[in-house]
Parts: sequence; structure tokens; C-alpha cells
Amino acid sequence: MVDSREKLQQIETLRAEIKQGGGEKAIARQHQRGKLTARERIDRFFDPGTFVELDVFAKHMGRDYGLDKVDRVPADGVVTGYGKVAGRTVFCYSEDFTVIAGTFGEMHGRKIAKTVELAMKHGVPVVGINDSGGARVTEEMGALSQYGQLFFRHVRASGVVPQVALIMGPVAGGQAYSPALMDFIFMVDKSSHMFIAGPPLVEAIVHEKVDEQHLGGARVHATISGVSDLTAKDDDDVLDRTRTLLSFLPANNSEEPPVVPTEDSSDRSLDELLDLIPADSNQTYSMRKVIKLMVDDGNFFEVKKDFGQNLIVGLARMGGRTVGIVANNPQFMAGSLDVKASGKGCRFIRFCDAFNIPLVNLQDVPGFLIGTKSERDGIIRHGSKMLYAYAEATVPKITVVVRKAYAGGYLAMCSKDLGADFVFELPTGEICLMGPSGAVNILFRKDFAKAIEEGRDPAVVRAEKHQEFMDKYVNPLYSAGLQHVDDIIDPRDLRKRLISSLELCRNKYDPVPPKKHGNMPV
Amino acid sequence: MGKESVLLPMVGKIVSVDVATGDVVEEDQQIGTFESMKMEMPVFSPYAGTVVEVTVSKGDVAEADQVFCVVETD
Repeated sequence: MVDSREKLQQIETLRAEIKQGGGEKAIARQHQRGKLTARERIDRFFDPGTFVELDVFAKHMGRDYGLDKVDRVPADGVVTGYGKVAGRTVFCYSEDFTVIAGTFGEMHGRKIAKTVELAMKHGVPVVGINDSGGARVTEEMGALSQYGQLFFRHVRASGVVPQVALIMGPVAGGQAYSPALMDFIFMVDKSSHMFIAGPPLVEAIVHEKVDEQHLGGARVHATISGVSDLTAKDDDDVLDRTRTLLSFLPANNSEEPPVVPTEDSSDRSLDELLDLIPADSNQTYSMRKVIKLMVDDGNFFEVKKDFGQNLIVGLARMGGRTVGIVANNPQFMAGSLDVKASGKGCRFIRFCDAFNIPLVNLQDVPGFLIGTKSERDGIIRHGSKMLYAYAEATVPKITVVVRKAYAGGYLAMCSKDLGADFVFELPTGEICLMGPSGAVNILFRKDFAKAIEEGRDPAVVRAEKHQEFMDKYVNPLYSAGLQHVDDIIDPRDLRKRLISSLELCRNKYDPVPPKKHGNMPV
Repeated sequence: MGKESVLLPMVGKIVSVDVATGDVVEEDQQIGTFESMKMEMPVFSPYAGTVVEVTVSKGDVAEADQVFCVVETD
């Protein structure tokens, strides 16, 4: 008979061994690659001493091709459990690249799927740290099936608890769809990559020679594919920024985001804003500056910064409460909405709506992007996502017409007609059915023809008619007169007015007809 | 590290080119201006590094995704 103390001793010895992961050499190699180990990442991510590990004794299922001779695969290559982030519970799984390259076997997959399931059941966010060589081929159907189990849980948990994927090494093959089904993907520059098939397979099948970074590195996904939401400079940076992201979010969809008191007064006057926005609508300015001036302590957590740059989206606080900001960026493509920006905006709006985050929309939009390329890319199909997302959202929606608000762009950036609770216009606002120049061309074409006949300068006539049109229709007094905007406000009062309206909307009740789900254009 | 192309986001006319071959640029530094949709817009370099080739000139009409310049990254 082994007495219970001895038994305990054996178990604890084994636990300590397992916590060594792949051993000294493998850990040294991980560090040489500029990466922390799975457990170091967990230690740095959670509040000290709060992490509780589950399934540490999970055993791998490999029976063939040498895996039967591997006496153990510590924790089956993934550390799972829960801990506290700034005092709030968060579930986490962290793949251990030092253990047979963090490959995804059956038990490994079961552990991750269970983590997502527990997070959903208990209503807390889940953060997935991905660092894996891909599927463990020797576990065949066991691995494949667990991918499916995991995807199913991500989808079930979608809109219930926030799900954040950190790409801190390779993610290859089917596993790439796990982060893709979560809410945010943060990647580490240079040390991470993500693709459905790696360079050797790509070369063999489609005869293309490419390296890992150009196929699916952090920059590619942040700028071209739009898969990634943020590029961090190293492991510590990505973990820090994840903690910051979570600070803005509620634990689940039945809670409100946490309130973070601030010294920044709700009445603060935005004096700089008065001169920041040029009256000449052909001149650009920094919309990010407008946002930073307006929000608490200038603190703006932007996501997808380098993708669809004509639209700026991110989280901030106003009066201590989280808001989602959606703003046109006149410095890029004049702020027009194209396919990329529409998809980016739609996804962000729906995330905010799912997690009770009010939306603040800043308009300076000349419309949807026109032209052959845009039409062939499907701007009708993709652009409609913005309309869908705003109309669908039941969180408070406050819109500010900063300058241009032309045509479909005005509706797609949440006018009253799309359900905005309040619309404010700055004195520089220009709401118009179509770009004023185009409207003038149609409306006064006979006047221009007549001017030419009579030998007058058509440019002079055009300038006159343009001014007449602007005075008549394209100015804040016209739109306010028709109650499309609730007020024309002094730019210096923007912060004060937004906070006051957000406060008013806090108990907004906006029932929707019962349905399974809508059919959003995708 | 490698050569990266800075691309123009949309069709437009080059108003200014503010860098030359050999210039060192920082990430998000303005390297030129182009005009489209009646707006003059800045062109920023998404990369830090050294400009090894400038592929447009003032007055050029550029296509979407046309290369503005090539930067050898640090």
C-alpha cells in the first residue's frame, strides 16, 4: 500500500515535471526565436499568482509512427485554465511550442475546446495564445474532429463572451480558422505567421515561391488581408495590449462594460477643434486628432489601423464609459467607403452591439467609392453591410456630421433614418443627396449651355450656381430645419454634448421582432 | 530585412513626391501627396527604412495599387 502522502508526492513530482514543458533545450530555442514560453506568457498575462491550471495531466493519444514511444507529451502541448486580469476572471489557453512544436492532437484540441466552453458557460472572456506547428498528423481523425469541436464552440460563444486570439508563433492549416472565428486577432511582428497552407505546400501545389512572412506574416494580415486587428512589437507588447482591450469590455453579453472613473472633465472644451477642421472641404485633417481630443484622457484603442484605412474604428471611454468609435478618415481615399472599409466597419459595429458598447459615429464621407473597380469588387454587396450593421444595432448610436455627409455615405454612417438616437452637426457639416458638384451639373446644365451660347464664362456661372445650391441645401441650417439633425453644435462642446447624450441613452430600449437571425449580406 | 513597396490606395494625380532615393524614412512618415476625389491626400510610408527607388513623379496619373516607392526595411 502506498500511503496518501507518498501518492501526493508522486503526483506533485509529475506535475512539476510537466510544467518544465519541452525541457531546457527546447525552451532555449524558443527564447532564441524571441518568444516567451507558453507558461511565461501566462505568468505575464495574468495578475500574479491568480492562474489556475486545468487538465495538466492530459495524455496524448498518438499510438503510431513513434508517438507510442514518446513516454509523455507534457500537458499535450497546451496550457489551459483561468486567472484574473485586473481583478476580472478570464479563461486562457496557451499552446506550448516547446512540446512537439505545439502540435494540435486530440487531447490538445479537447483541452482548448473545453476552455472555450467553460468561458461561455461561466460568462467570462477567453484569450487563445496560438503557437503551433499545425495538426499532429499521427492523430489523424482525432485532431481533425477536435478542430471541428473547437470551431463549433467558437461560433456558439460568439456574441456571448469576448474571444481574443493572439498569434505568437506559427498557426498553420485548418487551425487558422479558430482565431478567424473569434472577435479579435492580435499578431506579433516578425515572430508570427498564419496561413491555411505553408510555403512548401504552396510551392508544390500552385507553383508559387514565397516565404512565411510574405505569405501570412503580421504585416500582410494587418495591411492586405485584414485578418489581423493589431500588430504588436513583441510578446510582452501583445499581452499588455490584450489586457488593455479587455479593460474596455464586459465579461459577457448580459453585462455592461466596466466604468473607469476619470479626472478628465465631461465639460472639457475642445478649443483646438475649432481650427482643426478646414472650412474648405478639399483640405484634409487628422480625424484621429479629433477622436483623441474628444475621448477621456486622449486614450483611443484603435484596431485594424492599417487595413481599410479610410475608416477608423476603435474603443475609447467618454465620461468613464466604453464607446465604440467609427469615423471616416478624410486623409485616405477622401474618407469614401470601399469594400474593405465597409467590412471592417460592419464587423466592429456588430461586435459593439453584441457587447452593449454604445456607438459614436463621426462622418466626413464623400459617399461609397465609385468606379469600375469598386463595382466589380462588389461595393453594392459589401457596402450594404454598413447599412445592415447600423440598422441592426440596438445599442445607443450617436452620430456627428463633422463635414461631408454625401449620398449613401450619410446613411451608411448612421443617419437618423438608420436608427441614430441623436445626430449632431458641426457648422462645417455638408449633408447632401449627392456630391454638390454633381448635383449642380445636373440641375443647372441648361444654364451652363445658355451661358456658352451667350458667350459668358461657364465657370463663373457654375461658381454662382454652386454657391446658390450650397446656401439653399447644403448647410446645417437646412438639415436641422428638417429635423434630420437634432442640433448644430459648437465644436468646442462636442465632448460635453456626446457624454450628455450617451448618459441619456443608457437605458435605451429598442425591441426587435422575434427571429432566428437576419440574413446579412456577406 | 527586405524590399517593400509603398502602394497608392486609389487612382489619382501625384501632387508632390517628398522623398528621393537614399532617403531614410520612418514608419507613418508623409512621403508625398496625391489628389483624388477633389481632395489632396497625404501618402504615408507604412515602413521604416531607406528609399531605394521612387517610381512616380509629380504630375503622374497613378492607378490604384500602383507603386509609389520601394523601401528597404531596417
